Amino acid sequence: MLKKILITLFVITLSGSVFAHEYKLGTLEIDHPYTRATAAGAKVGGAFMTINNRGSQPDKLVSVTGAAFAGKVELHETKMINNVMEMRELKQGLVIPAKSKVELKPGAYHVMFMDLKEPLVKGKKYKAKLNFEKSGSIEVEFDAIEVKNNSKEQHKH
Amino acid sequence: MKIFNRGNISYFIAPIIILILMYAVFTFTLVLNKANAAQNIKNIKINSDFELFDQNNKKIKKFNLLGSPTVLFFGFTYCPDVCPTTLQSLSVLIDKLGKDKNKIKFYFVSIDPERDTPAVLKDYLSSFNPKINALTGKQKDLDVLIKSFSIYAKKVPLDNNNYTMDHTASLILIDKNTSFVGTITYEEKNKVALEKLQKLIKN
Repeated sequence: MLKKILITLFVITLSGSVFAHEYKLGTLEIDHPYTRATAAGAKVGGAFMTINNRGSQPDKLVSVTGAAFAGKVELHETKMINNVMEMRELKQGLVIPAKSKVELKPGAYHVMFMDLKEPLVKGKKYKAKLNFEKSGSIEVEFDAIEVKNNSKEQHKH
Repeated sequence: MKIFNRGNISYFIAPIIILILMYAVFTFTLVLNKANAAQNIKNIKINSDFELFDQNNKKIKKFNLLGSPTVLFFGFTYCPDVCPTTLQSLSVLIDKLGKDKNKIKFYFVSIDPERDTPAVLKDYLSSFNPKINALTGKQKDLDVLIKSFSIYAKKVPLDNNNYTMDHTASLILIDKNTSFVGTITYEEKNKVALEKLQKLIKN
């Protein structure tokens, strides 16, 4: 029994370390960028991550560039109002307030890869550059994973 | 002078009784109206015919939806988030139904027929449970479904001539006569959603 528990714990720890990846840029920590593995022929794909600003100044994610697999990338917000899904472009960028965490997740803020040149395949990694107003730019890898459930039951890494 | 003789008391009480009666009638009317409203929900159904196409270009008319309960999900393939998530969740739910899955029809109804042709939908749906079929076609035919169930679907322009759609994200559950039975919302817990589908089969 104990052996089973230990093995399970070991596997959980291992899978955690395999999936979790974090980037640091100045006072910003970018945790686990991932993108939805897209349906066949889908022209768009949503991507998500958590951005933690440990600094005392706000920063802003202004754009995502350099995604060779997409014709265009925008920052969007999805809102559910009375069971109606609305999506809007964040033209002014996404503010990361000082000493705060902003979560990009299904049903909320997301990076939208548009005019996809190929489907985003589960297990593959996709590079793109995050551009912040103050902290500058950093290239990150988005893990393509299967996003199964809605935001409330979303598995957290 | 006696105030509380018989005659005087009736002067006091009569208006009070009338007020109470009026209140009772008013409340009763409210209850009746509510019951009627609930009745009206049951009367929501597909009330005219349509001619749509599935992902294999097969013609689907109202007649094809009769006879077994149906789940309708209104969405579009250019939807980055809510639609694939819902279709993915629905795929899992369908598997959980076991053999009962064959007792319900599942349709992903396009609200963006301009971009969602049968060929595009066929490709798209290949990523989800094979029980989910597509419906697309002329706007006026899709409008029969959209208007029957008061689905919100609105085109919203983006930059560079692109556009997105605001739309109702709930699954619409209808019985074998296409009468509205209920919804499964985007936030619904999987367990509750599964129960709703099982109940739909028993309807």
